[in-house]
Amino acid sequence: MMTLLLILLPLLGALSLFVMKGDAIKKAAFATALIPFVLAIGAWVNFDAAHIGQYALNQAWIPSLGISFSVDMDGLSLLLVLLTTFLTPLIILSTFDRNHKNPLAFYALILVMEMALIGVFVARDAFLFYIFWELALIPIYFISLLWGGENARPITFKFFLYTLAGSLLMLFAIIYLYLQTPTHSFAIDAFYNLELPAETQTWIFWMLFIAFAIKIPVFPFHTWQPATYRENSTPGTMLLAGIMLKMGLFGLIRWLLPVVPQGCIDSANTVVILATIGIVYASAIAIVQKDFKKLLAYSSIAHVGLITAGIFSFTDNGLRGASLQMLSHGVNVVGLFFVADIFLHRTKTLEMKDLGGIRSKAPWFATLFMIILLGSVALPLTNGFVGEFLLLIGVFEFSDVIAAVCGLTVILGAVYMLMAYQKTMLGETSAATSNFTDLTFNEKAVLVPIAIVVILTGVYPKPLFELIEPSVQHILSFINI
Amino acid sequence: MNVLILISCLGLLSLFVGLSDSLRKYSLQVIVAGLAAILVLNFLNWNLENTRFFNDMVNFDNYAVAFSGLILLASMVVFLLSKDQFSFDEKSTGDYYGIMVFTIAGAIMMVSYSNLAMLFIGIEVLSVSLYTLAGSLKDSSASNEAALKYFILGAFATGFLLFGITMIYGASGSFNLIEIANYVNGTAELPYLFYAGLLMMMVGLLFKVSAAPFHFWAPDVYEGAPNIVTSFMATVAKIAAFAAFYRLFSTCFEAAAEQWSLILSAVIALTLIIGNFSALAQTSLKRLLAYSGIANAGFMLLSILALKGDAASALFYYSIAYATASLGAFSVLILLSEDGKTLSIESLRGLGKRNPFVAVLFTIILLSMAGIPPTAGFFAKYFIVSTAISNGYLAISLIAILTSLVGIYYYFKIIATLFADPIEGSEDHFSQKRSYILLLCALITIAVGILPELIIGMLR
Repeated sequence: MMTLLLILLPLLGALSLFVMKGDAIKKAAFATALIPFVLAIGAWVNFDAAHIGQYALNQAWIPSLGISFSVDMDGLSLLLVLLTTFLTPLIILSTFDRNHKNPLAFYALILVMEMALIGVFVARDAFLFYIFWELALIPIYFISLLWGGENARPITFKFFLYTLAGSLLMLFAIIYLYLQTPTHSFAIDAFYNLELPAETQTWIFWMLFIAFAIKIPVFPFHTWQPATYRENSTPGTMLLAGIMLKMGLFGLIRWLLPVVPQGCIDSANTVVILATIGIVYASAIAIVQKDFKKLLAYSSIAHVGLITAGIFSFTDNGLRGASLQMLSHGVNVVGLFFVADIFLHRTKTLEMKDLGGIRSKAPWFATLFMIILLGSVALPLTNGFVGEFLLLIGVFEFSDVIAAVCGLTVILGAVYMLMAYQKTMLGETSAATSNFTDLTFNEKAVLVPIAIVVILTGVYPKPLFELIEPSVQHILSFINI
Repeated sequence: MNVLILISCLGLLSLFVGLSDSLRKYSLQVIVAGLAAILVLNFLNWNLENTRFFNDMVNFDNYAVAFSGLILLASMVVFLLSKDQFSFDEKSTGDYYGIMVFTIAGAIMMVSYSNLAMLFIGIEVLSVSLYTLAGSLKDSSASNEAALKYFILGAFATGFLLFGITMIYGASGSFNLIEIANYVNGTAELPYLFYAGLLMMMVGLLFKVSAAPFHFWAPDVYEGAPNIVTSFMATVAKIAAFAAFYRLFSTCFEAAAEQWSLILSAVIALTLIIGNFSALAQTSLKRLLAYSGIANAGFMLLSILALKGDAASALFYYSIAYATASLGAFSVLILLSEDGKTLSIESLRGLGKRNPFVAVLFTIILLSMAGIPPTAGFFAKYFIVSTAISNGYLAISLIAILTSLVGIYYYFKIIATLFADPIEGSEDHFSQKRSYILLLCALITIAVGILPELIIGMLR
């Protein structure tokens, strides 16, 4: 019931906006986005890992075809639901000082997007999972198209067709898997117990993997990403980078590893090498970026590459690190894109050479930016450290050479992020930054919770580990190396 | 069978109503009410014990009832859309309506025949009526061209069909579907005469469903004919042709599937590719709908290829989804077209601002055509593809899925145009227009998409 409520509330929220007018719309959107977060916290507090199916709801939907409306939250789902419900109100709040045209449609789309994302994370039926997966694409398509920059149209098309091509491959694979189940069912347990022959597993693996890899994006499927992030409106980028790419990572863990374990093991080398190439390549490009938002886009490719490599190490550390890093990356990247938005809003530029000297003008901003940035470069006692450390251990257990390469790029990450901080915040003020004002109340209300989560997760990650540990063990139990 | 008699009577009635000047203005109400009554009677035939009528010429089984119901419903919607559409020839309105009702009679014969002679009569009644309707804009050269093109090519295809029927008769000694089926199942080595007949019938039917490479007539005829006639052709005629196609092949030719499935697979692949890629280049909404109709035909043919299992349900569900979406799109076309001008996609720019009601509903229709969940279009495509895969047609299913990506591209290009900023200073023709048919279609699209169980259970 709780799970269904979490799916339905954002949708009801979106509908309720239609009776509002003017400024009330954004406030109502924010308020309705807060309710699911409170619910998710409640679900976390009451979560009992020993009680399997605690939040399960299983309702026949199209019984003659073995399709059911089956949802549940285990630790991993709950972690991502927490992430989604935490970030959505912040994303809405981040728009309070900005004027977006046609606010009614804008906020309604964000809330529908939240519904679809939650649906993806809680679905326990492959058909339902696919429906939510596709559904999430529609609002972000419109957000990118209508509220994006000048070149939004071709770029949105590229992004949309790219991800849909992956989705369609996934659909084909899902139908095939469904027909292999003895009882013709889409239920997740039926998919987990398929035990297909190795050759079949290999091609099913690639069909599903490409769908997820495009979403994440893993090298070489990343070409849509930098331009899409760059051209999108800030809330759109936040949704894409903060939450939507987690759909792909989540898909790897939930719908790929246990379904075709042999296919995963056989292709793990290829995937890890691709991911590593992506990390090195994206870090190298990030270093030479002049535009802050593009730098963030490439650094995001590097981060998710490491998460992918960690998942394909098939180790306890790798998967725990990946789960935690999904949360941390989501929180940090939303914070950083908001920082970019503040630059753009105040100075009308994202060119780092035109910025500088902001720290003396805006101490609140400088401090909060610094905290989030340290989380992003994985300094000990921040959230990024816990996740990346575990990921590196996981990758090390898989291959020490690759772990060494990944480790070096973590250092590279620190280099370009700190350089960016230096260029934008320190030094002399420029023409663009001479009138830089410190954060408004609403802006603080976005960045302060993020900074708190960065530190809290870094200092005391234990409750989160307790949350995900059983799920990770369950997934790993399907993989016998 | 009572449906067949009643619909013919309704056709006669509408001719008489059209004769008198004082009654003519009520002809639309008379026909819609008549169709509604026949629709109810039609569903009284559900689960009949004895389904065979007229010396076993007609078999009114549940398959026939379901498709007749859909055809009647779609026709009702077309009639509701047709208000003022024949105003160019006020005095002959009754004739046009009468011919349209006779077309429905032909369509119902095509979904319920159990004898090849009846199939032929059905197809002819439907086609001859449509040839006439396509040319109903007497002063328009495009309309005349459409009628002539349709007639000549259609007559050619009918020739193929008839030749095929005679060959099958020559081989099997019967026109009756059951007896042909018995002959096919009971003969170890079928003669070449039979295969030649089968191939000829297939060509004739593929022409009627506008599958490639027999599709060339469709875009020109669709474009030249009046909007209301095009919407009638694209829905009622097409669904009837598919229902007839499936009925013939599933009853008679299943045992010979090895021989024709490869040819049909090639036709499907060609249809999907040509339909989708040609649609990419279209600038006129009506022509785009013609090509998207061809692409949809490729999907529907998949159910004839699959033949077993849920194929009939899948075809029926797809027909509903396709009819709803097409009628929605045509209602937009009819609503926004100005007399005598083709509606270009570019002219829809800014509709989202000027008329959000129509733009949002049209978007739902387009999402369904593109096959995006949770609309009916998605489930229809899913259901047909999954039936095809379960019968072992993996490669062709993959082609169907991948070419639908091309479809998504051009449907979403329309959506992007709808919501783009209007051109500065351009005149606003659209803001006052409303269509409740469009609203109805959009609602059905979502309802049927979320609750497909209501329909897929019908033909199991």
